[in-house]
Amino acid sequence: MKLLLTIVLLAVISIAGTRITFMNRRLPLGFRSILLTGTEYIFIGLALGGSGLDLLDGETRHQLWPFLIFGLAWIGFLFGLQFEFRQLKKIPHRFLRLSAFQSAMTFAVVSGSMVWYLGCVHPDLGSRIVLVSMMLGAIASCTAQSALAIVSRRLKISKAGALELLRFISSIDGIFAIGLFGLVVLIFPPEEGGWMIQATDPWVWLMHIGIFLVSGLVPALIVVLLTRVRFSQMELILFIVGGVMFAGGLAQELAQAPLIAGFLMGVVFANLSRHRLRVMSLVLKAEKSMYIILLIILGAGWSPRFNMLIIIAGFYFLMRVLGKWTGMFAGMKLWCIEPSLANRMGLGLISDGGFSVALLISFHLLYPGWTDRFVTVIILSVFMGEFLAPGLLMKLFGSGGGVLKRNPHSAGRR
Amino acid sequence: MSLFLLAGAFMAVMHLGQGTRDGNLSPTLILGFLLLGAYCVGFLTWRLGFPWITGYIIAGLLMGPHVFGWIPLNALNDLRFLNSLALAFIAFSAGGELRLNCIRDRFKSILFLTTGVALVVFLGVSMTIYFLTPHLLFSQGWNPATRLLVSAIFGVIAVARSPSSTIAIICETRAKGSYTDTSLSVTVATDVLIIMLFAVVVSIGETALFQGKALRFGFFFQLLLEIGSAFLLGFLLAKAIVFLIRNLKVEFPVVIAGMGFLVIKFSHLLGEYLQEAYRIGLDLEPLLICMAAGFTVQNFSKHGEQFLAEMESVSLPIYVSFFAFTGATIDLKTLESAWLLGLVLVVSRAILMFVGANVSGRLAGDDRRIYANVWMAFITQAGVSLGLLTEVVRRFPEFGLEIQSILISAITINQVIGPVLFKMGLKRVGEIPKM
Repeated sequence: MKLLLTIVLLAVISIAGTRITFMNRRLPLGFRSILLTGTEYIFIGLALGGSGLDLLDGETRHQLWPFLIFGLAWIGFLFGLQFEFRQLKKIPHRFLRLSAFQSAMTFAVVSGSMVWYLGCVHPDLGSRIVLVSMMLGAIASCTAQSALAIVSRRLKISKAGALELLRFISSIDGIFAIGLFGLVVLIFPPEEGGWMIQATDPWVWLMHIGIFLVSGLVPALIVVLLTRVRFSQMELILFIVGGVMFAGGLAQELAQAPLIAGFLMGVVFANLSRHRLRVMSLVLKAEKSMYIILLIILGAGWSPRFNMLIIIAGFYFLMRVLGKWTGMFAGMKLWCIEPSLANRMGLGLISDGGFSVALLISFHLLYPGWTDRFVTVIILSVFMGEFLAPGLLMKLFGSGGGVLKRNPHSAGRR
Repeated sequence: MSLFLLAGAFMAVMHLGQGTRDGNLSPTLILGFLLLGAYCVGFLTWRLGFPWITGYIIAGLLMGPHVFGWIPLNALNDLRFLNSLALAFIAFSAGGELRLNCIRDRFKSILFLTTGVALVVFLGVSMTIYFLTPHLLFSQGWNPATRLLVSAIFGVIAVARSPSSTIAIICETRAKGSYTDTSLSVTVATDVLIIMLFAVVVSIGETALFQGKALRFGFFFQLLLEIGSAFLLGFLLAKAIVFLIRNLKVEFPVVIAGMGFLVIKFSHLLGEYLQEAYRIGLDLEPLLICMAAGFTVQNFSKHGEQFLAEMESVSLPIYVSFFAFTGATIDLKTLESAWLLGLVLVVSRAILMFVGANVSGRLAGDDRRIYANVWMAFITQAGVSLGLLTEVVRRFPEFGLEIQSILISAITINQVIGPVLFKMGLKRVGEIPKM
């Protein structure tokens, strides 16, 4: 009965949420970024979960696991669909290099600093500190576009090129984040309980890599083969839903991340099939609802404890900002991309967003139990990022970076 | 090629897999495998000239716990909610496919066929079973009252058909015409009739003929009240559906499927609540509610065709999973133990359907092309028949299990041959458009 009620509630909230979220409302900029960008659903989940009404209790969340697996694979698949290599080749290489560089720099800064910091505050983790630090580094390396979207709607930016660069980097750095995440899972297989893989035999490594790839490759090939002959829209829905379910379930069985399996499936499909755009428009329709439900489930499982974790979250956030800033500064200087803005552009990539939440959920599913505390760290960091990002962007484009004019068509105008 | 890849990956994962936290195979994996695998097998059967749903059923049977065992029994139990979801969805579609103008045009034919075929099959099968029971091992020692009740139960279940299979074949073949309309209308109308007939037989069996209790005539009023309440709730549900059609674009089909699922769950809960709180024995039939809702939307709102189009847009995954699931639940051991009696039942039922349809059609003055072939549309049996059987086993444990295996084997055979015959009938009357 509880499961039934929860499903109804989730369905109603997700349907209503897709209509309310991203609407223009008169709110201060920081709050505008937290509320109505999706982050509020974590609070809704918190209210429904064990810390609140207890509708979404542990048992109910466990029963919703199959849907969680499917949702993660769906999001990963959608993300992967964007990476058609033919289109990527048209992008100037220096932009790609810049994006990779800032991602790698953020990963390095955050991982390195967290190894030291967690070693001081959480020595009980032992050698798992390396796993956690690398995971946090991977999650930190991606960026969301929510703050960019809000600021560009409100304000007429004269440095459009800089804004476009930020948009490009934030849309593409997720691929590096997911790649780093996958690398960490490979080095610290979940079936080893979060300990580093001990194998010295290269065949063991190859087998692990093979299993890692199979979870996305095989479903992709099946769906590509099925879509080779003429098919109707109904059949396409069946292929995609069945394929994503298969990928997610396969990943779960092979102790891999459904998000990565879905991503690999998306990349393979995007590059082997002629129907990328058609599939993408279909998959996009359910994207918002999926994210909302994942955020609610995450919030429901969150037990906020505001102790040392606030400090860890603050430290993590600062290191993330430092990593982004350093990465963009060094990269822009190195490849001579808008060098006059190099000392500020990193501030435009602070927003975390939905993808980092998806990575967080994947992390938590793969290494359950002892990773609960880091859920709080990431969630708090996401809040901080969403709250501060628009203000930092204003500073970026305000002080000498371009003439800032209020957009006369913005709904936020008083 | 896809099928081999799919099967290979699944078998590899069964050897390598970690399983979910409770050690079982991931339901997401099983469902994905079921959807894609059943589709591939359906494609193969279509290429051989058989209906797609035959392929889905065969795929489910092969993948299920009784053949290759790729989908274990506990996984099937976890996926049982799919059955309810699909049945509700199909019930909505069945109601939505009934257009008043078509029914009005063919009202006499539909009425005669519904009542005529039901009467002939019920009486014919009941008499056949009644005369067979003294010669069967499991029924030795039964008194005449028990034999009569069992015969009547066989008769009722023999009348039951499968609106889901009928709709699936019609959607698959895009058939249109008076034969198609008549087949669907009669099948859906029979579903309503069967609920009443079953309730009458069971009630009489539980009272005067079997358990020695006095027959309560108030029960007929209760039955009418239940059917009336189902129609009323269906009407109210239709109002909600119309609201949703106007306000939801993308999520509408998923929401409707979910709504139907909730109707099934809540109707049982409501009945239990009314019994416990107010001592009111109201057993609402959820499929009737969904059918009534679909019918109301189609015929009493401006959104009938849109409703059907939206439902059709997501119908394929639902039909595939439903029929594959049905196939996976076929127990071959049961079939093996009672196939001969099951076959006798199948053959006698088919003959009686033929006779009943021809006689009723002639009396109604119908087109010969229709009444000579319409019996082929009535052979399939699936969820409704199995649901009635489950109810029989629950209410009459004294003989329920003995007759269960015979009925399941008959229903299974009809499940496989029924769609093939219906498609043949559609081809014969020329109502399948050329692709």
